[in-house]
Amino acid sequence: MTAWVITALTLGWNEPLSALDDTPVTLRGFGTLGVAHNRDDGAGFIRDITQRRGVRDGFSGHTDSRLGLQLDVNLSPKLDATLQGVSRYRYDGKYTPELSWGFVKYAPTPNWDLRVGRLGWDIFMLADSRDVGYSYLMVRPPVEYFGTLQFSKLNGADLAGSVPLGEGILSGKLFAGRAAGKLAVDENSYADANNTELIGGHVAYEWGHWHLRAGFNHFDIDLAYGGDIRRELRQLEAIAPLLGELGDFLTSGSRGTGEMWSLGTLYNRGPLQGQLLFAFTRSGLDAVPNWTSGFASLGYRLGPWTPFAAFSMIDSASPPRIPDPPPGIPLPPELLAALEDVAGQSTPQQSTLSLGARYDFLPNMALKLQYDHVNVRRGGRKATQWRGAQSDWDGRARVLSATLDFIF
Amino acid sequence: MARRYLSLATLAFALLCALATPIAADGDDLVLVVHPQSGVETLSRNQVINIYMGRHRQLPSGIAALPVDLAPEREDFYLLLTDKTLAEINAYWARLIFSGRASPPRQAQSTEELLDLVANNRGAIGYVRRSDLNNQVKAVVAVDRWRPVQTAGSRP
Repeated sequence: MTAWVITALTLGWNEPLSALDDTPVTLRGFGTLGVAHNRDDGAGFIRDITQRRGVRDGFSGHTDSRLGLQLDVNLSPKLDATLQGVSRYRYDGKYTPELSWGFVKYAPTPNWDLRVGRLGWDIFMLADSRDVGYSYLMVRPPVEYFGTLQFSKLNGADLAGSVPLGEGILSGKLFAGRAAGKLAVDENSYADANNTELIGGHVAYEWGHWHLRAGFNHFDIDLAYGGDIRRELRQLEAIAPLLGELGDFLTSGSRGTGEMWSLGTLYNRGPLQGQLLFAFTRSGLDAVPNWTSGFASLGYRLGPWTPFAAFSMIDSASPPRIPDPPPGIPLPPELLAALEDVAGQSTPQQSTLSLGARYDFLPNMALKLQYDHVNVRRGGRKATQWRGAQSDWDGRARVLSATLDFIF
Repeated sequence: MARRYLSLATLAFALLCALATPIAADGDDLVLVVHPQSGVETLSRNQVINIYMGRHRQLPSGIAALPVDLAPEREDFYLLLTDKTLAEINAYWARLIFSGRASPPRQAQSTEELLDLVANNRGAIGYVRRSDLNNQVKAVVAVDRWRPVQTAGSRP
């Protein structure tokens, strides 16, 4: 992490570098230095489920700090290549840089392009730029809407195009690939998503102050677990054949299909900006119910300050029914409790009210302050959205965050 | 008789000076310019926004667009065009650049550099102060006519 910071600082705040000949090479970057404080101790607050530990009863710099570097090469009038690496707090607690984007782009006409390689998962509006703090108003993308996303990148291809329609521009994209990356199941376990297939697309219309988008995504999940949970699963798999339907349920968490539908609206008019996003996830896994999530935000620029307010929520259908064991096979209470924990991991039920302000004091740098009042309903207190939740946690978290976001 | 003509001439000269002043003020406004063979006669505000914000990469005539920013005038240009500050424009471009979607307009550091780019690229579009126009580029529309209605306190 230190090496990366030093590299970024030596590059300075200059304009993008350009080669003097006809093949411009551009090196740019972005970053966030952040600190979050959670005054509650009941559970560790995380930004998304790739983070190992959460912040509780004190401060942490892990939640939002990150650094990205991007190299763009224009190979020919219709061919470009892009490489982007990001260093941030991971499932193993380290800041090892990862390849977030690495693709070749072919543009047969000015408004159509095909990209092949490592791509961000463009599941809904703003999803594939959530590491770039400088590009949005809040300290972090709302946790209820973006934090539960299991994947952030894929290896595959996407095709995007746009055409004028009336006063605005109609655009669309289709993508397909295999997910890349690991996420943290809890502090000592992770899941490798590398065999999960992702297919999806969206249609969008931008005109005047409005940007509307509707998207659809299909995923075929195949997770390989590591760490503590892997040992537990191995034990379960050994006895699963004896447990009939219950055995299938216990070992079903790593494979299954699902779909996500999303609708989003962005409104931008002078000093005013608003966002309204909504998503519904249909789960094809026995152990995971359907989810509904959304958020609304409003910001108004006053000089160099932009105060904002936002409300975000996620709700899940009732926890899945845990099948009964076959008759004659009593289960120890500890195993029953563990089963409830597993079921609870996939039932997020919470909402957050956020208030804050962004201060643009330099052209490429912004300071943000934000207060989050989080309320987690009883059914959602074991969700993977929280780390190490205590059994007597009242579901509340009050998080105060400050970030310095920059681009160069 | 000569004195009367002299008075008339003085009056006429004074009137001319009075009329000339607003013309000299118009020479300061920002004007969009394109290549003389770009096939573009006029541009609406929406069309200019779509090109400069990377939403649409073609001129109305079908040629691939090459939008150019004039660095010293960039702040005024975007305030007139979109009523957004440079910080907001930079934040918007950060989202597109770092998701590999589009590249921002080319940056010209001086009026001479911009006029040279536009004169030598059929798809180029840029903006300069009216008083800096030359006959190598075609002026299309004044950006000032799109100035949004300002309410007190909305400008930083």
